[in-house]
Amino acid sequence: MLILPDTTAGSRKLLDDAIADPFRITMLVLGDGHGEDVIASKADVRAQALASTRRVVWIRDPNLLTSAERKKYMKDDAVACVLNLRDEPVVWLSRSDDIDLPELEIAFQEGQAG
Amino acid sequence: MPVTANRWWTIVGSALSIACRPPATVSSPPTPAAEPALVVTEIDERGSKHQDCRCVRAFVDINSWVQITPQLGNLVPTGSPDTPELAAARSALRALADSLREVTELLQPLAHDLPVIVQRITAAAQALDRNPADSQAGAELASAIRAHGTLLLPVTKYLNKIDRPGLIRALAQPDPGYQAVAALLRTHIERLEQALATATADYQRASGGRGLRVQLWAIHYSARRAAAQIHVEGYDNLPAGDPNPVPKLGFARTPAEQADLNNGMDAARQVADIIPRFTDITTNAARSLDSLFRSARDAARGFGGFLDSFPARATLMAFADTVQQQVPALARRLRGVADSLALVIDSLRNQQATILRGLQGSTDPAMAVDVLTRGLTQGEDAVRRFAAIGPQGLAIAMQIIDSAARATQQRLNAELLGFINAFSRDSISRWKAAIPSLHNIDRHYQELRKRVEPFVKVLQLTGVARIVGGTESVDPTGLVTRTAEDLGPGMLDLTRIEPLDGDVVLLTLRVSDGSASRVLAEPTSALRIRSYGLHRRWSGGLAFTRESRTDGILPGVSASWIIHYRSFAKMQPDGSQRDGKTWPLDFGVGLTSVVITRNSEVQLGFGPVISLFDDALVVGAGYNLQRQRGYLMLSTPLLDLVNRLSGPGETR
Repeated sequence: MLILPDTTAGSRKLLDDAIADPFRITMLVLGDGHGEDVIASKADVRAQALASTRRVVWIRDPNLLTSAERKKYMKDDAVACVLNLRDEPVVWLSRSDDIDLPELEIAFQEGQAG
Repeated sequence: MPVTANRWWTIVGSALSIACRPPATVSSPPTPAAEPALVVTEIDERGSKHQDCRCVRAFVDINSWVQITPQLGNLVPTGSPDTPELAAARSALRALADSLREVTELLQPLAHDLPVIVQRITAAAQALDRNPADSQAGAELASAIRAHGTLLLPVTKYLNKIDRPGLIRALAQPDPGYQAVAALLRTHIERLEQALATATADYQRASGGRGLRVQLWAIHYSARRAAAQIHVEGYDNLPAGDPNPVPKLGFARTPAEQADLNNGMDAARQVADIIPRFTDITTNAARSLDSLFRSARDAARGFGGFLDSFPARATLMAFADTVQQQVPALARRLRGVADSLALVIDSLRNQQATILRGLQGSTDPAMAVDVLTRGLTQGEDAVRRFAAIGPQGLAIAMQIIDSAARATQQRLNAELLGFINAFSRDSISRWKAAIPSLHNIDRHYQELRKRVEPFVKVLQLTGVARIVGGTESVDPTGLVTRTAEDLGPGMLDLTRIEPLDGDVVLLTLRVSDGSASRVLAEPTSALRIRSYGLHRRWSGGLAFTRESRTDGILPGVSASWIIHYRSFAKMQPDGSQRDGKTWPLDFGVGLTSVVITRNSEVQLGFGPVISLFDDALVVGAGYNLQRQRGYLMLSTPLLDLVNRLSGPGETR
């Protein structure tokens, strides 16, 4: 799991590199304070099931994203977002969802299929 | 009668009875027979029902659904009448059987395909670690990741719906093989099987253990695959499989067609590799080819002599004239195709550099065909245009030929009667004169067999002549036993069984007494799978090419896309079915060939081909895109040829 703790240029570069990786399904976990740490940790368990092609990036401070990116990745108050191989967001997990291992696994699989 | 003569009779017969498509009908089931029997109703890809057939041998289209209705005849059921308890027990049985099938269908790919997909992902990821610019590995990884997600998604969603706590436990460990998920699924299958057994027992108790018990199952026989039981909806719990209709005019291939093409081309490649190492065989092969042409020509002449002595020659010649008059119309349509193909050739020439780059470093003909196929996709529109306008013109021509065939048949019948009435010593001498022609045909056929023998030996040497399939027995499993009161039609979806043209499905109905210990009757019915109407067929085989301005014949591998036509099967007055006829000369249009030269250099050729004897022989001309020379080609599908030579088996 890649944890980006702040909004520094270094974090931004790591985020850009992660998103640009053409061979990984990336799950972005966004925010810090309402159980995101548990979600990121469980998502990482599911990422390890296919370690060479799944990755979790925990963006603790969403201000690291541009406003356009926030609109794109945090649609409907999403706490996690899965990008497919073409770096397009295809699955959003909302705070109101009951997010557990099955939801995270299904999100990864939908990212793979789409 | 010698087989070659048979062949000629078939050709004449085909010309006499080219059938038009019978109107789709919705008919009531035939009157029940005295003996138990199976009534087969074909539902074609447009959803139209065809005539019911209580046939021991029925013909169905490759993309059709088949409704199978068991009839018990005089075995009158003696069980108790239907009650609400029985109806409830029956509903429970059906619901359980449906759930069991659903879960079993999920487990099968998980057990068989997932390990392969994970291996593909690992291999591609390792290749990318070594060289991140490896685009082939990148494409492979993307494809495998997609397959992984597509395979697992329905499983995860299903388990999340029926056993969420169990799924959470199974997903708590990062297990790349998803073994805990598969184990969870197996547990549910076992539970369902147990519940089904209990429900079946309940049902038998409720029905008083009396009456007839009926089972129905289907076994799929294919020339180059092991025989296997297939799902009949309503009569077993087997996985239904995914629907995968055969595209009748496109370039795409179903997995079964792709496997068949790959097998044929692999076999051809092995033989093509071996032939240059055995000069004798090569020389004999060249001689065999020359003899083959000579023999065929001589046989045709011999047959011509026989035809001359036939009393109804004039009638047949008149029919031949009618056919000949229609040839220009057919030729015009084919010229349309040729023009379209010319466009494709131009397009391919322009793409030559790209294609050759794609082929560099690869001696795998299958990959070469894929590269070429991608290029050919551009030509598909042109061929589709032909498909849109072609059949109309062809149909008119065929209608005229068909009508002439009917008139000819009537006249032949009358003339035959006249011939019998006027039978005299003079006519015996005329018939005697034809006998040497028949002997010649037999001799040439035997000669052909002898000439082709070296090829068969080479095939046996290389082990490619191993033929799977045939008549091995398969014990049916997962059957649902139904009572006579609960008897309904079963449904067989041929698009889900990966069929190939020429396959056979054997249906068996077993009727037992109440305790199911004594079999009262077990009738069978064979479904012969055919492609009807205009359709394409992929043919991969061993090719011999002779280039312009060069000596000698080079062995290679070819893949051809050929358009065929088969008229629809017809019901006979006695209730049996007669298969549809193919075009008299089985001619078609081919698109591709791949040439491997003696120094193992891969070269790509392209051009029109004509298929003879149901693809047993494909001849054509082409243009070698690398050497920019024309060539002549003669190709034969090896595995199919060995099948035909090895025994009487099913022919297409």
